[in-house]
Amino acid sequence: MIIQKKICLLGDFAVGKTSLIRRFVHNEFSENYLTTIGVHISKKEISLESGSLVLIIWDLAGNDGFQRTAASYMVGAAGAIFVGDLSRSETINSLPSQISSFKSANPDASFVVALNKTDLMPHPVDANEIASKAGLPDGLSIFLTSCKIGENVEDVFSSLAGLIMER
Amino acid sequence: MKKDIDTRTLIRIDELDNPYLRHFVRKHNLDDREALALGVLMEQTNQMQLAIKTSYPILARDIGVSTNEAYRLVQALHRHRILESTPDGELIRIAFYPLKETVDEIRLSYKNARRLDIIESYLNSIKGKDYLAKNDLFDEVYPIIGALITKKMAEALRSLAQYIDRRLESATSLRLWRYRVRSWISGVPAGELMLRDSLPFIVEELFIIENKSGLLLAHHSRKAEGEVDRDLVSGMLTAIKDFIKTSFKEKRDEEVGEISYGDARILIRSEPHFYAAFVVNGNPDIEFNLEMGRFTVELHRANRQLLRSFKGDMKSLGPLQPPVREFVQRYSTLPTEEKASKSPMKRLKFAGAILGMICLYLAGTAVYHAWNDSRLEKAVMDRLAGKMPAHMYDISIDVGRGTAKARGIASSEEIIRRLGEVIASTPGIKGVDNRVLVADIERISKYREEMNTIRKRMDAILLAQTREELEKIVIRFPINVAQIGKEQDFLIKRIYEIVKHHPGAHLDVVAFADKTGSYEINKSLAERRVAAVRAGLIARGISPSRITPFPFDQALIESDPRMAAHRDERGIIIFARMKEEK
Repeated sequence: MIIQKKICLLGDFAVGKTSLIRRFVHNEFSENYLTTIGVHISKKEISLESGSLVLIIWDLAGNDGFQRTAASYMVGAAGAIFVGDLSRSETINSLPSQISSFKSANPDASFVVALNKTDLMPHPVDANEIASKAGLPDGLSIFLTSCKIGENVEDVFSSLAGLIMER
Repeated sequence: MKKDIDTRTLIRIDELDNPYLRHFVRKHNLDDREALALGVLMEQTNQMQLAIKTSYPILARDIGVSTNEAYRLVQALHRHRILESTPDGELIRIAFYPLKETVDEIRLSYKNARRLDIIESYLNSIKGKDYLAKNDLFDEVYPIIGALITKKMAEALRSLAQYIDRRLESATSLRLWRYRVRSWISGVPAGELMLRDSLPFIVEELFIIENKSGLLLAHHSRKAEGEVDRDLVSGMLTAIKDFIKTSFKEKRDEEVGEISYGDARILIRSEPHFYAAFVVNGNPDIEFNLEMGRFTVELHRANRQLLRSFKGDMKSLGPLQPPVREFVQRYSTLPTEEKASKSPMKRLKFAGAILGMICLYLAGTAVYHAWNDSRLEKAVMDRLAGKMPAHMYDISIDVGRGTAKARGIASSEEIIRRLGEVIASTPGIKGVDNRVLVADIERISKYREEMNTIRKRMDAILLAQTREELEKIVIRFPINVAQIGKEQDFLIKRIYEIVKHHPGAHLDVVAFADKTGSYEINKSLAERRVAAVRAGLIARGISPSRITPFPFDQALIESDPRMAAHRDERGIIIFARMKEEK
């Protein structure tokens, strides 16, 4: 059985949403930063026990100017990955409001949080502590990721895939 | 009995502009008020034959008459069997339209009226609920409204095609005959064929995309899949559509209907659960626009349950694919491609090839005949020379396609007959056209000689005149000057004017000089002057071969009496002569 679902990547600008997709879909990483204009759509098939799940991934621009458009882009998504930058705490603090916007557009959708750029952190970090400080809801699946070294990238997507399939 | 003419009534009838009303007036000989009453009633029923609730007072107000008069009018229309009404006149409807199309329309309208009844009961049943799914309402209403609109548009299109047909009937061009033949073969009216051909288009791809998620539900392309994954294309198309909608549309409910790029257009038709994106090249006709609507409505109607319950399982979308593929295949050929083997270009090339071969054959035949005729002419002349003495005849032979035409003179009828025989006996000659005349050849030869002598004398006289004219002209030069000036050029022109009428004359250019200066200087100057005058004459158009520059020879000049008058001058004299006189 082939299931196809739309998911969104959300988060402030330059937190690494596009890098997360590049690492996941193409297993690539680039230090060069190119901002996403509007939306960039990718496709990735994940093999599951019951068949396969094709994710149509909408990488939404983190720029504030696109907020109104971004709201319409979120409609119809079965899931979302919220990305924050560990080196910029404000990008994590803004996640609760973004989660709230997403949930209002898609009440039944699943979502996970990726706290990105662990490679820039001098010391190991506690994901739950950061989430708690930022006011993220309890019980969320939170992953510490690094697109540069590929840490936990696959896990973020497969975890979200699992949550979507459970619904 | 007819009433007096009421201008206001007539104006109101005219404003109604109802063709059916005119029909009834003519058929039942209705008076003006009856006609107006019927027109008002028809307008109120919107010509859809739905019964209307009314009363005589209301009717009287609408028509602009008294209640009694309204009653009389309705009864009159009732007697004509135009109206059906309840005894109290509360429910009135137009009973009968005589045209078949109208009857069909009545049937459809009743059918739709029944549907509307169903919707009305449905709306009543949900009245009072807090939440009404917009999509559910669309699901019920859209098939009826959509079908009605489509039908009306199709009628308009048919009328246009019929109009063109009528125009075609009176037209006579060859191109129009082609349409008539195609119409006769295909059974499609010529006007419609012309419409299709004048607006060629092709459906490249068709996407059926879920409205909310942008997921591709079904897709078919007339070509192989492009480089870009169609799932991603449908996502981006949805994003672009949403972007336009949120950025530019004032009303959020309005949908994007079309995206254009180059010659291609993406025509979008939205349904409650999906939107269809038709990628079209060219100019789709009106019929196609209606067909897109019909297709999406029907696709949605037939798969409504499936679309409602879609949760991402792509296999469940199987039923969508065949109609999508069938639609693209139906519109994936340009009218001009339909009969590719009979396309005008191919026919033109074929005709060109045939014409080329014919031209080649004709050219080859012509070359052969020219060669053969020339060969036969020589053969005939050789045969004549071998059979008959040349002094007996003076003829020319022209052979064309094996037939020899002999022209000229011979000394007797017998000679002419023998000439014909000899010519006819030449191998390859199929016929003889003997036009040789009897003449005294000896006498003619004598005349010819005399004529030549006379011609030579005439030439000599002309040359003498030319010479005399030329000798009068002396081209003088200033001291130490050899270049042609204005004066010299004028004289050169005069010389040219004299000699151009005597092409047989050759010119000797002779220079003379006075005694001033050394011999070498004078010689040099004289020869340069000769060269300059010669160049001037050549520039005027006299052939160089006709001009002979003479070297400077003082002694020779002094010995010539014609130069005596110029001994103390510097210049050029030109002498004319015949070529052989040198």
